[in-house]
Amino acid sequence: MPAENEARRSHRRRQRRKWVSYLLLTVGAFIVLFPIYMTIVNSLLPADLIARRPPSLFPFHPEWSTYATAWSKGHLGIYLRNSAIETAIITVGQLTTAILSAYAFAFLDFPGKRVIFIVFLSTMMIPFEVTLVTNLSTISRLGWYNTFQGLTVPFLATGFGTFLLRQAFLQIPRDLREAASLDGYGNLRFMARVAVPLARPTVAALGVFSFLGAWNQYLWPLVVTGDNNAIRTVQIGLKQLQATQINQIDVTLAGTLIATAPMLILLIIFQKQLIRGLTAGAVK
Amino acid sequence: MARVELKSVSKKFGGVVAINDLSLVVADGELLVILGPSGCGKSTALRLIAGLDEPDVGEITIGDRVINDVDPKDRNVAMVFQSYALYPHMSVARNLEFPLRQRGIDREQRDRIVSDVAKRLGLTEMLARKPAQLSGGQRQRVALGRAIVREPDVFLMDEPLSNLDAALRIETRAEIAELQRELATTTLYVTHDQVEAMTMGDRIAIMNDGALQQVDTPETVYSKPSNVFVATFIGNPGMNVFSGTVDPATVSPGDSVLELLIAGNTLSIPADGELIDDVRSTLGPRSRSTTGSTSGSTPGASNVLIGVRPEDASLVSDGGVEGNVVIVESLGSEAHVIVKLHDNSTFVVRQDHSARRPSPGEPVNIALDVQRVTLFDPETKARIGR
Repeated sequence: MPAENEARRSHRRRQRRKWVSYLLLTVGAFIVLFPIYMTIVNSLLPADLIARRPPSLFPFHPEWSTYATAWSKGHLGIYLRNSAIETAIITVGQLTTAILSAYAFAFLDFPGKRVIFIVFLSTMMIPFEVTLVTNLSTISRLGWYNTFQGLTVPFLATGFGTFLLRQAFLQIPRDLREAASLDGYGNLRFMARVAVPLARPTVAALGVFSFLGAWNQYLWPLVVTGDNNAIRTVQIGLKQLQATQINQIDVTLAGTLIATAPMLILLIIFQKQLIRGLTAGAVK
Repeated sequence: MARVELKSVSKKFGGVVAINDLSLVVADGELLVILGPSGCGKSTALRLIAGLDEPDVGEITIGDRVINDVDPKDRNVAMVFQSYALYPHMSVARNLEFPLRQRGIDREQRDRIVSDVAKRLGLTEMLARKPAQLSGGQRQRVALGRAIVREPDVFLMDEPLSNLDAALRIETRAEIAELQRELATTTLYVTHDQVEAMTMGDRIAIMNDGALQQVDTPETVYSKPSNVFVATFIGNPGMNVFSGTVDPATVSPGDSVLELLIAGNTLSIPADGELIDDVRSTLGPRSRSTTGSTSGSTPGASNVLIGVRPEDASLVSDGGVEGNVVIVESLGSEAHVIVKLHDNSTFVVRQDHSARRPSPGEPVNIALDVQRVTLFDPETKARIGR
C-alpha cells in the first residue's frame, strides 16, 4: 500500500522534526538558564568554594545566611522600597501619557498631527545617554536633585509606548467611535469604556515593559541620587553591596537574586499578556 | 416624532463633490430609502444628518430644529452601521444598554428597557454572549436593538443588510420594515440594492454623482422614471434605451398619435395632449440644428431617446425594431434575449419560459408595447411628457 507507506513516512518525518526542535530548545534553555543557576549555586556557597577550580555545581551545604547578610548589610529593604516607588510612578506615568497621546494620534484630528507624531517617533531613535547631561542640568536647576521627582519625571512620557498603543488603537474600527459619539460618549469616556479595554493586551505589554525598564535603570538613578541613601534604588544598592563586601561574592549574588525576584514574579504572571501584546496585529 | 429636511445641502471631500445641492424632505414616520450606485453620496447624506460630517452649505432640520450646529449626541438620531459597530468586549446586554448609560437612566429602568428590546428582537437568550459568539443575523439584530433602546426621533440605517447572506437578507428586510411601521419612527435607509429599496420604502430617493435624480413611490419610480439614469438603474435588467427620431413639425396639438422613426421604420405610439405639448416644446426649437445625425432621419427631424422595459417587448416574425441576437440568458422561469440594435445599443427582451429561444447571431424583430413607451430628451436625458 503506497498510500499507507507515504502516510507512515510523513508521520515519521514529523516525529523527527519534533525531536530536533525539542533538542534545540533544550540546548537554548540550558544556555540561558545556566548562568542563573550558577548564580543561585554560588550565592549559597561559602566564598572560598566559589573560587575553587573546577567549580562546584551543587551546594551540598547551602549557607542560607548569605541572604540575610545581603538584606541587612546592603540595606536592601529600603532600596527595594525605593525601587518599587520609582517603578510604580514611572509605570503608571508612562501608561497614562502613552494612552492619552496614542488616543490623540489615533482618533483625533489636529493641525500638525503628522509632524508631531514623527517627532514622537524620533525620540525612540535617541539613546538616553545622549540626553543624560541635559536632563541632569535641568533636574538640578529645578532643585530636584536627590528627589523622587528627579528620579522619575524624565521618564514619564514614552515615544515607544505612544507608538505601540497608537497601532493598537488604529485597529479599532472608526464606526465604533462614531456609534459611541451618537450615543453621547465623549473622547475620555470612549477611551475608558471602549478603546482601552479593546487594546488591553497591548496596554498590559506596555505596562510590563515600563516596569522592567524602570526597575533595571542604573545610570540615571546613579547620577541623580548622588549621596542620598534615602531614595537610592536597588540597582545602585547592589553596586554598593559589591563594593563594601569585596570578599563576599556570595552575598553580592544573594542580593542580586533578591533584587531580581519582583521582576521574575511579574514576568511569570504577565507572560501571556506580554507575548500577546507584542504579536497583536502581527498575525492577521 | 420628526420630519427631516435637507435644504440645498452640498458637501465636498477635498476636491471631490460628495453631495451636490441636495434637497429632500422625509415625512414624519416615513421610511425613505436612498438608493444609488456606490459613491453616489447616499451614505454621506446619512452622515450629514447624523452629524458625523458637516455640510459645506445648506441647512438640515429635524422637526422644527435646524441641527447644523447641534452636537451629534443632541440630535436624537440613532444609526445602524453596515459593520454593526458592536463593542466586541461587551456582552449583548451591555451593548444594548450602552446608549442608555450616558443618559442618567437608573439601573432598574435600563434593565427593563434592555429586556423589552431583547424580547422584541428575539435576543433574550443571547444577552450574556459577546458579539463574536453570535451569528451574522443576530449581530444585525443587536445593532438594531441598540438603535431602538434610545427611542430616537430618527433612524438612520446605512446598508444594514449588506453583510447578511441572501436568504437572511430577505427575511430581515421584512422584519425591519415591519418594525419601522410598528414604531412609526422616521427612517432613512441607505442601500445600493434596488430590491430592498422597492420592497421596503414608502418612497425611494435615487441619487447619482451626488445629485438627487428622483424621489417618489416605488411604483412611480419604476413606471415613470424621471430620466435615463433612473430608467436604466431601476429594474433588473433596466429599461432599454435606444435612439430614434421624431419630427416636431409634423406634430400638431390635437394629435392622439405620435410617430417615431426608428432606423427607417415608423412606430406610432398613442399620445395625450401633455406628451404632444412636451415634444413640441422641448424638441421643436432644436429640430433645425440636429438634422441627419441618425440613420433614416429626415430633414427637420429631431433625435429622441426611446425607452422600453424588457417585459414590454417581444420577439415577432416581422415588423417592429430589427436587431441581431447577441446571447440568450436563461434564468429558468424566464429568459433574457440580448439583442444588438441599429444604433449599437443593447436591447434586452424578457421572455417567459414557453417562448422559443433564438440562437446567437440570429436576426430578430422586436415588437414594442406602444402603450408603455417612454421618451427622453437626448440632451438633458430627462423624461418627456408626464
